[in-house]
Amino acid sequence: MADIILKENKMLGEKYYAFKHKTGLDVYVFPKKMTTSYALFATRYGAIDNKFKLADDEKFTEVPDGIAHFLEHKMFECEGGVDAFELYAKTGASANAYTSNAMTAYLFSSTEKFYESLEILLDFVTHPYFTEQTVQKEQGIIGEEIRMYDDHPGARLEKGLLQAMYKYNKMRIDVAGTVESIAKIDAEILYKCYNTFYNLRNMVLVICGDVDYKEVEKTCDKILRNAPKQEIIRAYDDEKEPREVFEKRAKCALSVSKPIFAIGIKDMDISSDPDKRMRKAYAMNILNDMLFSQSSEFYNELYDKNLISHDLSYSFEHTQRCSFNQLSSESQDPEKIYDFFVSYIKKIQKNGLDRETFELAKRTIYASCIKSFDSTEEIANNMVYNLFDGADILDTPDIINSIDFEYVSELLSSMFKEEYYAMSVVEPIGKEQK
Amino acid sequence: MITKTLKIAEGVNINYIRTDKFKSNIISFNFITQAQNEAVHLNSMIPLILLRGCRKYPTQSEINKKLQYLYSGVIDTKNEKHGEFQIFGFDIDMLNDKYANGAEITKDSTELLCDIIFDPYLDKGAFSEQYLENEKINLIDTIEAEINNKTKYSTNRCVEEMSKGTAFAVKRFGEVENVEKITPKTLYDAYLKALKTIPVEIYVVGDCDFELIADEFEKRFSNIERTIIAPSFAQIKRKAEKVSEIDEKQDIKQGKLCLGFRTGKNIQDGDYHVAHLFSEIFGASPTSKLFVNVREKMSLCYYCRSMLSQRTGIMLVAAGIKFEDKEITQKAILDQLEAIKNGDISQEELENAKRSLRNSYMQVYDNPSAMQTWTLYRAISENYDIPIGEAEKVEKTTVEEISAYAKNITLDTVYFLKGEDANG
Repeated sequence: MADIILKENKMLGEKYYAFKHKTGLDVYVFPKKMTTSYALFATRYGAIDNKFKLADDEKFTEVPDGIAHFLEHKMFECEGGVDAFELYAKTGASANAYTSNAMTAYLFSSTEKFYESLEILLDFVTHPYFTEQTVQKEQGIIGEEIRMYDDHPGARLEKGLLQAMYKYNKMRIDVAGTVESIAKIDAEILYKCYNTFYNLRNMVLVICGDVDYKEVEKTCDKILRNAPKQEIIRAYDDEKEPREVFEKRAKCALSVSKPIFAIGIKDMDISSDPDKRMRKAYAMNILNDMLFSQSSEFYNELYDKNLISHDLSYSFEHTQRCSFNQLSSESQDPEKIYDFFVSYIKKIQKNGLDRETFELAKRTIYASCIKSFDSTEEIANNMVYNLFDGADILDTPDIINSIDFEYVSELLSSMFKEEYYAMSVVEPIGKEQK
Repeated sequence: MITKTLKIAEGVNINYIRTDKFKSNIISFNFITQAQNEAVHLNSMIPLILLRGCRKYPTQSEINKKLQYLYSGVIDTKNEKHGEFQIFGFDIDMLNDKYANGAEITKDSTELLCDIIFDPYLDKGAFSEQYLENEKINLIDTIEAEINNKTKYSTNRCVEEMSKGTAFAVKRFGEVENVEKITPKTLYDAYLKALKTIPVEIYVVGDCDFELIADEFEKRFSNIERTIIAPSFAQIKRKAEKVSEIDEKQDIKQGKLCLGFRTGKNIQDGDYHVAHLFSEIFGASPTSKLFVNVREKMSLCYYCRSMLSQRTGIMLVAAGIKFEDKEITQKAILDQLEAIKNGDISQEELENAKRSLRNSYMQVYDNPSAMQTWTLYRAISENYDIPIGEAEKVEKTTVEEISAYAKNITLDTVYFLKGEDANG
């Protein structure tokens, strides 16, 4: 039996067990008395990892955009023409997978036969099988997925924003790639990526549910083979990334009823200490709530003038590889919102934040953190996201409690400067503003 | 699932689904009425105007501050179409008191929700004109934004075409021209009418002081004289007379095909589990005939799935495809339906679908709002069981029952949304 680490948060009444499996895989089991158990098997490999080598390799390999996502699709096809979904059908588990900028995750949720489903998950993700024919077939399917997102206002808005903010950072790359880039993918290059990134030492298994960690270890023993030690070197080529945004505006026209906009605030101040990153992330959540929540002056003034709709959303993304804040909604006049945003922030920077508002916002962020421990799916996904960034979800309530008014005030002055702002707009076709 | 139900006023029930699995509790307040063109826009507006302000907290900023104080309680307005019914009201999500350092979240949140529902901010005996003008613009925006999501837009259009002139075709938020005509007075009258005549189901899910919540609502209803106008079930059209072809154009990159079928039955005819199992095998799962054949074997699309509405008796199949692939996709979908009609379902397919369906039924118990919705819809249709009971019925279903169900299915409408420059 491997050495087991037990981590507990008594206030939350939650705990997890962690161990390093003998094959090199890190395993986390978060026991939760629910009907549904949830498992996530993930690799630190996403759309941004398109240039890499192993320590012994001479040269870097560069691969076409969209390949991590393509690989995710192809993993479901097993040798002998069997599909992983067919295997799961024997246990009744509901399976899926997703690829983001920095990771690829395979998952299932089940209400019975958990360990059988876990065997399937561990088995198919560790057994690649690609042929030229199956690769070609997938080009058709993913081509339609790409076209679907081309018509999707939210996806276009997000893409525009990232491409406006960043000049070199690989967050610019579309996770699914383009119809042209995926046409360049073949079986050989898929194997190359697979063998580099789907090494168990680059992966993690997270399970949440009514599950016994000893049984999990036995299942790993049965299915997994020792992974060779290897060092992956990734080239992000973003040393030249400027502090200010690349372009102030990104625009596109789609068949929508009304313009939608996203204001991005680019940030380059990323600590190498994961706890500090987590603290900053939650402090920014508090600050966002103070500035833009439904009780804020910003929201109410724009709302009363019908300049924004109900859904004003805001979020702060903060990981080792990228950091930005964003604010989005629908509006007849995004430029007016932008101007209002700029002057509103200036005014608050001049007058200072309010302590009572800070306390209320802190309550809000604290409560949503507690509520995030209500679903096995949410717990497992949050855990993986945080683990890959070096952080621990059971630390979040304490980190939130430790955030003080002064730190949040400091962020207000350092984060918000006009040269860091960009805006992405999706306009109705035929009503584009010059 | 329901631990306790109390009748607290004429046509008003409050139900407790007790579970200690969660760190938060929800209260869901639902008016349930017939979907009618004359009233649907007014009813959609009621929750929106109420959330703008109550007598005690006259602005939304004050309401939201109070919610933040109550550890970020979240109140969402609700307005759904469920077949021939309109369901509108509020959902509130509250942190369990034990995480709140002594704050009385349940008590104070219930009072706030009741203030919003029963004690609105009024101006000259009606709703505020300024708030209403604001919310009219928002509601019209919401209606017009329907075109933003092409998949949803095309499935809605297909149902509309299939249900012309019936309650099933009534739009969820109503028509723009009707929203424009709302006045503070007509809205206030509609609000009073709702309080006095529309049946209400309230759900409390979680682990909290149910009696306290029930008492508060009972007190608020006690000074309202209620005479119930109960909604009734609509007749469904059981068979397509002919196939209608509808093509529309927008400036888009991917074509949206939607086939509308009449299943011949709705939930009042029973066999809820047979219909679900059929749908699972046909096109609602990644091992379904549509996914395996139309997507995986033929590589025609990224998604091709069936959606069954058990109230309207309408089944839709939606796929995102190249403009030129319409005919071939349509044929591929119909071929799979034909296979099921002929009983071409392997024992393996049947068992797979049963397991998958049981899994999704059992997952309902891990989600407070899924439990609440299941219970509410069941209260309306009264013709099916709680999830675990349905899972047992699924177990006993045979291939013959499924193919007999499929034999009554007829294609009614082929809706296709294509690009401006697509041929044809």
